[in-house]
Amino acid sequence: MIQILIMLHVLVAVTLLGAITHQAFSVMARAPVSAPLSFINRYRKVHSPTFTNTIIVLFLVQIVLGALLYPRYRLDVRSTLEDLQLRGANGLFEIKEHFAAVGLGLLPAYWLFWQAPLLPEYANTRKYLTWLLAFFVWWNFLVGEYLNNIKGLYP
Amino acid sequence: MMNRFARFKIFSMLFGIVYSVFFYYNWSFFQYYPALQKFSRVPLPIADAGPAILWYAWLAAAFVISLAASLLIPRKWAEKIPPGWVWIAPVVLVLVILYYEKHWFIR
Repeated sequence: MIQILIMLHVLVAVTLLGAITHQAFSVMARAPVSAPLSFINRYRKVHSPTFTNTIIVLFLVQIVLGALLYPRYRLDVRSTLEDLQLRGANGLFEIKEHFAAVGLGLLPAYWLFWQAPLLPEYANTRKYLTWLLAFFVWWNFLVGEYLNNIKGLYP
Repeated sequence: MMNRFARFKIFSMLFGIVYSVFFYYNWSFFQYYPALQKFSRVPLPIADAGPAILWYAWLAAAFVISLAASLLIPRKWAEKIPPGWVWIAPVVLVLVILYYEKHWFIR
């Protein structure tokens, strides 16, 4: 069961990562119309509002999956990290859980500022909220993967 | 839309702050004991119950308090909150969290 939950957690994380990264790139300053259609410009040229509800649902699913996995982590992984004196790894996880919480709280405001019509006076707020969420998602993904693979990283 | 749901701004600004206050002071209305697979309103001795998880309680407290505050504060006040505060508050919080948690990396 725990393996299935971890697989689901990773799959949802990858989907969320893709969606939030697309949206985070799309709110960067637009390239001029005459600019060549590079990979980055194509990547940014998505209809960003369509990602919003998907990102919120995926974030909530991730919180639930993370909460279900937490007891196993607390009993098995954390105690192993403490035995191995890997304080930094424990610290990274502590920050991961705090960022997940702060990100969870941001979702209502994030939803609000992405509602149509997208008023230009809220463009900066929209952008920074999206970048913050993207930062949390990237941090949590990388830390989660690091901890998941930690047995292979330390002999 | 922005005025109708202006209270969302209060909820989002408060959630992270309330969560951080609870985790900083280690306050929790309940704890979960994974070894026993049960919730408890009172702290149990670690020798019998094993380590406790407080994260669920911090999230629950942040949700309830932020929701209550966002419903109690008049909408007119919520409408007046500058939009910038909604992202500046969590950025400050991130810096505070990183500073507080530095003890894991620096001895």
